[in-house]
Amino acid sequence: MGILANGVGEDEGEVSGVLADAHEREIKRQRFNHHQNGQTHRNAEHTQLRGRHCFATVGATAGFRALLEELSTPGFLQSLAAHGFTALDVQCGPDLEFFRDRIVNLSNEETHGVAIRYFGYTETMRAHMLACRGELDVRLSGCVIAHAGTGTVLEAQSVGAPLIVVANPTLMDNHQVELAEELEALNWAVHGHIGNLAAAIERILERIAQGTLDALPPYTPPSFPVSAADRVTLFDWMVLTCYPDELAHQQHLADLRGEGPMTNGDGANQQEGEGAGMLQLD
Amino acid sequence: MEDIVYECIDGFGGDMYTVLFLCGLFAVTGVSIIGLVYLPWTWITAFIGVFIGFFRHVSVKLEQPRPQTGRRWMTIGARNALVPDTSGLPAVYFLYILGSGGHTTEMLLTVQRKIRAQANQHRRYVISNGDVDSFRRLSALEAKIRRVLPDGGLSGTSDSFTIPRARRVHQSLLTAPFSCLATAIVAVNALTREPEDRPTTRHGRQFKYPHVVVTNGPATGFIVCLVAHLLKMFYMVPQNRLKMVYIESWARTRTLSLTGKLFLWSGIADMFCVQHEELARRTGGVMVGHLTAPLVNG
Repeated sequence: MGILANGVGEDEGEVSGVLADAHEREIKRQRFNHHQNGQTHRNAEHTQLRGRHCFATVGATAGFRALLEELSTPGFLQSLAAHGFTALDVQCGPDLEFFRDRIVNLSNEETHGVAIRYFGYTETMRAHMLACRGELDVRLSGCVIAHAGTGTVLEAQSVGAPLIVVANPTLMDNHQVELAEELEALNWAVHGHIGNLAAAIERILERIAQGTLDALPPYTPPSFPVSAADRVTLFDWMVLTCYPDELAHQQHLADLRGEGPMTNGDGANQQEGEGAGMLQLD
Repeated sequence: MEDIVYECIDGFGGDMYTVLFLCGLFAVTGVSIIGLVYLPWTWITAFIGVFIGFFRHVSVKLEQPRPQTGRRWMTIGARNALVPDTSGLPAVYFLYILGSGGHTTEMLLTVQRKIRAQANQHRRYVISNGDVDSFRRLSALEAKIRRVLPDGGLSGTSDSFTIPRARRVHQSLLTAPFSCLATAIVAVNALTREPEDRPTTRHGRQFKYPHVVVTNGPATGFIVCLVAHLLKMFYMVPQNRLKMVYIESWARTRTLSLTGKLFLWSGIADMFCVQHEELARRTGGVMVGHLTAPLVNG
């Protein structure tokens, strides 16, 4: 259990099954590290790195059987193992029983040495995602496979873990496809498709190979409360509309400080380097 | 069904606004039906009634700030120096409507990016009945706010209000009107009951009604805002309260959600915001950027 249990896991009350016995995983890991050493001539301390970690989640609200089905196919598990993944955590939502039945029926060869853990819901989503975030000298970058729901996507984005989004077609007017395509266009995530998830894994690995995802600095949560430059002010202005005199006064002050009413352009230019806080004026 | 009924009865407490509201609604409906059948002159009355209703609807809408103004306010960069200061006001009272799952995440991230230290603020969160997950995350955020903001009451006060769901995921559209009615009844109370931490004995009526109602897409949000609009139309709350901000979910990049369409068509939101350029172009909403996108290592 030694390899996988640090990071997440021990605090996980609802983990209901740990498959693939530890011995086999140990062998698998040594083989993988050996293989990697041979390929890239990394120094000794890199052999201590943990294998890649995959976290799959269907979200808190609705079930997503098609994704769970795909995750539990031997073909997909093989592609995980082939790319150096040693662990797969799955949050199943309402279909926990369904997933359990499928996993129990898999033989040891069919899991390809990937340790599969599954649970219905988790309160430590962030911890699971952090386990997929690469960190210099600590762990290799894994990936998060998620339904294209806002909550999950934003969480993964804030942690900085590579993300594969799969749209859940059973929801109201299939709205998740929209977001999945947008995320692909923004280059925030890889749009994965049911039936060919292995291809998405391959693309994620390409991305990891090109970038620095395997060697990120340690995760630091964003500062709170946010700096004045990033604060959302719209609601405060709305409060001021309840007090017209005060509103007029404040707007006058703002105009003075901003040297006249703002024009298009300046605002947008000053937003450079603000990362996610990209708000532009029209 | 039973717990919805119990919740409604529980919702009657306090100021009996709900009872008033419902009695009025039933009386008007009943009188109109009887009248329209038996008395010819009621047609004229009904016509006048509809006219007055429409007039009030329009006059409430005329108070809304214009989208251009909204765009100007939606500047996050403080270097533009357009930072409003609300700490001198007698009260600042926000009502945030949490949906479920992603809606909650977005709303809490927005709240997190909005919060600042000031003693005169009150935050009320409306949570759907049985949404334990949202409640847990909300408590975590509130605990964080209390921990981080300097002592001396600068974190303000907060409370939460439970409300029956307007529509469950996958619920049939046929049964939706009934659950919506249950939501509306409790919504009246969520909007009019004063916070326990801000009693009228100490603060007068300053904290009686929320200043700003913020919602981002759950059906419950539309019901609450519709009730708020009706309350304003019939002068049951002061006209300078219950300003509504609708922020379309970040998940919608090209088309509006059902709730979004309802808000756009009815025009009851004082500020209609979207988070993607293309959607802003299509709907004329105020583009607020990736408002809910978390700041990484900010």
